[in-house]
Amino acid sequence: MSRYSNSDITRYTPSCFCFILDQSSSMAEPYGERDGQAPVTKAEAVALALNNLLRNLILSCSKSDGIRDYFDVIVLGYGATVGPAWSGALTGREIVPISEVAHHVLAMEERTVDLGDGTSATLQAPIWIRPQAHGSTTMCAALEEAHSLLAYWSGRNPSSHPPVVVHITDGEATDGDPALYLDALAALGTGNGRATLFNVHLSSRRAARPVSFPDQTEGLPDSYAQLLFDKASYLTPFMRTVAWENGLPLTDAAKAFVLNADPTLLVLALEIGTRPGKLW
Amino acid sequence: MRVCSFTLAKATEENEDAADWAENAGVLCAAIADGASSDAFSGLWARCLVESFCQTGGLYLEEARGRWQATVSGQTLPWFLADKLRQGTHAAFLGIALSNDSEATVSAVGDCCLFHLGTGGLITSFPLTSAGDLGRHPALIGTRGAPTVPLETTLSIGTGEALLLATDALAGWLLQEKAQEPWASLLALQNPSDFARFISALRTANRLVRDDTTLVIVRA
Repeated sequence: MSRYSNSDITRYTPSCFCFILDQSSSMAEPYGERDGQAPVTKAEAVALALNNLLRNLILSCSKSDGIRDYFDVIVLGYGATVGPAWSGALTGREIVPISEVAHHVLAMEERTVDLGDGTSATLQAPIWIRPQAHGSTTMCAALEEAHSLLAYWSGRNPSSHPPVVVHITDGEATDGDPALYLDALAALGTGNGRATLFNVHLSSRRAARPVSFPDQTEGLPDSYAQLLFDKASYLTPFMRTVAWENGLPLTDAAKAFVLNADPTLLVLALEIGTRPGKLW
Repeated sequence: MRVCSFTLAKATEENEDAADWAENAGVLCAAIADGASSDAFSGLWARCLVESFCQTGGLYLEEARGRWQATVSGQTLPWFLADKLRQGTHAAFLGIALSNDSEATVSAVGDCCLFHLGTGGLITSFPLTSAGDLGRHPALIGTRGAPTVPLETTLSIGTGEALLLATDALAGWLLQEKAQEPWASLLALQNPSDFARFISALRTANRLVRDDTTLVIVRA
């Protein structure tokens, strides 16, 4: 059962996810106390969420005859160094087809996974990304590298669904003003439209109020939050539908931006951001 | 009763639709199923459902799930297919059981559709009645989880009448075009290559959604 339309994601017109991870030293701060969960660091929570997300993306591309390459994946980290955040066989790889991600798991770890119907199972969960938290917030350099890779990708995939960029950070850039770099990323696209840029801001402050997918700047605490709001893309209609299915009704003007995200909101933002359209 | 069935995959890969029919003790059973494209092995599940229905004369979920387990268990799979199988797989389904006295019981889950044609055209369709009934999240039968209760109805089939069982793409087109009486062109199909040409022409003209497409015709 399928509904095929022009900008649907197929193996012949794959889309691309680009994850840009803040791996600076502040990511070693504790995170998640709000939920009464065992404290983890922000870096650990991001690695856990991203590994789980990569697993889900791979499952969405799995058919009985193997993995269908509906997506290319870029994972960049910034902190002490700027570059691809993969380890093991994928070390240094910039644009990786999802089938290669599936076949180059770094390690399998035992984890309890929600099966989606109220039950859970303990299974071997694949790991690709290890938590990192070193160095300063070299955000501009990472955004520039992401732009260079996505410009190359867009040139080679003009008929594809446009890429989705998810930028996860807990702080302000230490290597310049990221505004122009964020503009340049959001201006990339394919013949089917502009890229969607997500800004996911994490907070370790217990009192900080999470803001999810706002449609106006009212209530944003400072100019930095304002910047991340301004530069984030509007959510696509399909993403708003996914948000609605997750109990989050949004207006047409909702931005791909979350502020002071706790672990639950981080996972939800990734879930919404990585459902750009239907896969055929 | 004369029965013929046709199916055409959307592309070169596995067709996730299935159709079957069988006659046992004076009851003719025919069924179609459409495996969910987001699942793995859904074509196999669709086949288990139609074969179970036609051989047992009804929709017995545990029997169909038993067939499924026997088919997939014991396989060595890469981690992603093992995980995917654990999530289960799903299909839409429609089956009819037609007795000697021409009473048909219809069971349906999801967006497969039955069209009852009289000599003067369409008498009724079930469970869909308009193209707008085709939604993004049709009801499905799963290999795990709570059973989905099928919608059921009964029909009385007269001599010279026909039943068309169609998976969602073709059902959508028939519902869209029903005012134009598209029935004769389907009833005229003689063999699989007729069906392939007919469906390919509709797909090329963008009048039919590019999807696995299946049709069973039962003539009284």
